[in-house]
Amino acid sequence: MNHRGVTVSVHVRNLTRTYRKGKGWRPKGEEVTALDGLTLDVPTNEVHGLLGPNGAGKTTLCKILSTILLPTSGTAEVLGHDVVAETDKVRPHIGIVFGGERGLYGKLTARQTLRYWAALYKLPDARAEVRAGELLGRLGLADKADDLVETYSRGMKQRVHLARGLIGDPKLILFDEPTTGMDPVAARDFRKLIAELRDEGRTILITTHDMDEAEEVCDRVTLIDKGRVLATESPRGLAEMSGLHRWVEAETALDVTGIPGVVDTETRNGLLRVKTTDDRSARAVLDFLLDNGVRSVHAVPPRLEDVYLDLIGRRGMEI
Amino acid sequence: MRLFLSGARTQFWLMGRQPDDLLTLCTIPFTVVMLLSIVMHAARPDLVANAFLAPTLIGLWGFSTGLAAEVLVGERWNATLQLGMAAPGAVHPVYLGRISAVMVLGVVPLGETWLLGKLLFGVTPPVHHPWVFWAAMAASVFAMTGTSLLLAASMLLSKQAHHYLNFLSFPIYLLSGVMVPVQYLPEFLQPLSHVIFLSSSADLMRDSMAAGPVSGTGWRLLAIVGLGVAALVGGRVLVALALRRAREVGTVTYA
Ligand SMILES: Nc1ncnc2c1ncn2[C@@H]1O[C@H](COP(=O)(O)OP(=O)(O)O)[C@@H](O)[C@H]1O
Ligand SMILES: [Mg+2]
Repeated sequence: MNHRGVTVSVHVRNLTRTYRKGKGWRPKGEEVTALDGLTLDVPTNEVHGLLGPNGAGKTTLCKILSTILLPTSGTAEVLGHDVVAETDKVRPHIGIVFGGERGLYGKLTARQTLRYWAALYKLPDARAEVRAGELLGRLGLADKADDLVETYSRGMKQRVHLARGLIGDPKLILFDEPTTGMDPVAARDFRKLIAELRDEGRTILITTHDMDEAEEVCDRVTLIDKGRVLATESPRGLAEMSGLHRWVEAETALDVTGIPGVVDTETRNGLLRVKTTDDRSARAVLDFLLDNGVRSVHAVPPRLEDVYLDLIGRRGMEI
Repeated sequence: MRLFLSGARTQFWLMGRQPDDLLTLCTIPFTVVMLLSIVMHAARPDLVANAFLAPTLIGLWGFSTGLAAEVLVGERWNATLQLGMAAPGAVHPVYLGRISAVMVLGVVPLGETWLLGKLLFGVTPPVHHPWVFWAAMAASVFAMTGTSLLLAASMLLSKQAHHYLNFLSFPIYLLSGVMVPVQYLPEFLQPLSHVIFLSSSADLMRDSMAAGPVSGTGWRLLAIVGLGVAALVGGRVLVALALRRAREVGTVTYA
């Protein structure tokens, strides 16, 4: 519990992590700062997004929270337990799903994979079998449960990762870029799964490059860059707080550049997007377009992506 | 214990589907043919036991260095090592289970050697003290398991370990007396062989095959097991060290 009486699942204070480049027992090379005094709270049962460009420190944070990596300084608590001193109290309650192709045994079946990890999550054999069956069903792997993982499609491998992450019935789940390389259908199923997991009372920390996904599934997002927090807010709140330009969208080819307050226009697939300085000029553009007989017109608040670009810049979009 | 068994079971699942893991078994016939041809041609029936022991123990060593010692670096390469570290169960019993499963297969070269001797040359050596022979084999498999854990952990800690190991295999065959009895080696090399448990194994197994009485069986078995326990403890410490260092330096995923 924090001072306001809200339970926090992730409590991070001034967390710093540096790496040293180079080889050997004690690398002596140049120091790289991955996390630079990061502070963050994730209340229980929240879906929290971590957004930031490559190298921002997202993976480093996930690794420290999952006890794989030690912090250089600062503290991190998961479910009230320190991730350095009380690993035995932290580990049973976290599930991790790291993106990428690795982390699976191609020569095991999905069922065997889950049995293996169930043992490492200390599930008794009978319980492990039931749990593996449940998860295989839930993730749509039941039909192929006894085929080798190496024969699976990319999307199915991803689902094995997810099932593995859930085997210990975790209270906190860390997803590190889980949708990288997922096809749109799989990504939609994944969003559904996240909603279900939240309904089950779990807390979810998810790093992603996909702003639409973050906007859709996250209760709050934290923007991080160079190991520091830039902002933590709900996606909507962030947009409103940002003082960013209002946009007007319309299906038209009319020229609106002369209207006061119009900063920029762009046309994509016949859709005109007009960037205006504030609500008043947005209003002016709307009126102009409606007066000229344009039907499908609407004003849009800034999207999470716009806020992200505004705060972090274009380089953040390179994956 | 459950973690150990889970590791062993998983390793059997994995090996069953990776026949190339069992490549060591394919090198055995060459050693068998080479050694038995020489021994038979030279008409030295007294050396037949040696010709059978060498491929057997070289096979055991081959499983250790070729397969068991690779388990941990394989885990790191596969990025499953970090997932294991994040799990509440301890990883070392699991990995020891996996290594043990490999080493149980280390008995196969023995059967293979005997079979090839019978089929190709029509000989099998007499084993005059079968109980001692099997006890020595079991103790050797155990000691080799400990050694494998030690080797596996060293490879996690140092990239160079891999090169050294390849380079070391021949000296070890020689010093451990699996090819030639140690007393035939140049005198200055002989003391070195005492620290290698394989030399005790080879001596005891050779004696157990011979007609004469075997002296000090108990102590000699104990010596093999003792060296095995030492390796096991050393391996356990090194694994803990390697994982600890990985958490500090941040090189869990790759070297
Ligand atoms: N094991 C490592 N050794 C050295 N530097 C590392 C290591 N892991 C990450 N880094 C560096 O730390 C910074 C943060 O990386 P990371 O946490 O992976 O960021 P993100 O997941 O946001 O892309 C990057 O500059 C990266 O190069
Ligand atoms: Mg990352």
